[in-house]
Amino acid sequence: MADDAKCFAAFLNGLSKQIYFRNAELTDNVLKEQIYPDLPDEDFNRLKSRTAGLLKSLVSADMDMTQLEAFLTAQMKRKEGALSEQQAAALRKFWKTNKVKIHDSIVIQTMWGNSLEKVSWRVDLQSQTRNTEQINIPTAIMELHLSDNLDSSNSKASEVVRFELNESKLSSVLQGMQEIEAQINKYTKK
Amino acid sequence: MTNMRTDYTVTQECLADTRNVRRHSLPLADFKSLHAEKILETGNTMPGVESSALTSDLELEWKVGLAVSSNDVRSLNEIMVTMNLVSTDVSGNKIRRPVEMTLSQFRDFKKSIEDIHQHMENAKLL
Repeated sequence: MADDAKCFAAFLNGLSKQIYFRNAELTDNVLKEQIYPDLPDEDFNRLKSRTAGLLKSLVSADMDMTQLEAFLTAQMKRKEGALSEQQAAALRKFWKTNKVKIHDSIVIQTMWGNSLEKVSWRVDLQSQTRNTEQINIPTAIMELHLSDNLDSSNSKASEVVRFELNESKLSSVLQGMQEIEAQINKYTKK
Repeated sequence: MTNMRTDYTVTQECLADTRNVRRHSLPLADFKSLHAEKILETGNTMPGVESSALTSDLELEWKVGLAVSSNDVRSLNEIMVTMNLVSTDVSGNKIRRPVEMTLSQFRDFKKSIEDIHQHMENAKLL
């Protein structure tokens, strides 16, 4: 049934939003009413736990497309609760679109310290008037908005730090960052 | 002897997580002190202007780690950059603020610093 595939696709979307994007409004009841209103409760619960299990496998291994195909083939061959062609197709399409989004969302959820929300900055040019020569001294004013991820529901734990830096200070900060990048590149090339 | 003074401020708000950049070039109102006393409203969040509220010192302590695995994702494999922003307060004490970022967040932050540096270089030529 074409409907089956569509419903399954919708279910995958809804379930992933509930589990991986922490959308509290998409409760099981909401999902059932919207997608499978006629399905008996017991069947729905079974479907939910099976689908959640499938998603868990995909997410946990961060499967690429090759691994996904192998996984889908195995799932379709199962004696009990085998995946149908349409469900496999829906899952394939879903994973292709959402793999990176879900992965990124989980990574952010695994950051439990402070994170950098926003960087604002301004460059001022200071010049002196009482001397005959004009001295152009640039100053950078930076505002870093830090937020505490441990309490992400409450944005009250947000700190704004301001710095006023002259050129040499900023250069050494930049140098530090270039060293970080160099180390990262060294590691990723291995 | 007339003292002529032109001051030029480049204001740019650069969000750490997007690549959108808005530029505003504003001539500052004529002022008599060496430091900006008044900032024209730009509609963006502007950094504070009282020099006493600003620290003029920033050092970076950093580490690069690899988040290998987590309860949700066994194959996480994410490079994480953790920085300690070290500043000195008025009494000379060091304040350390740790910040964690993903690789792409770090690259955006680095780009902001590069932009600031570029603008400082350009400002000197004015």
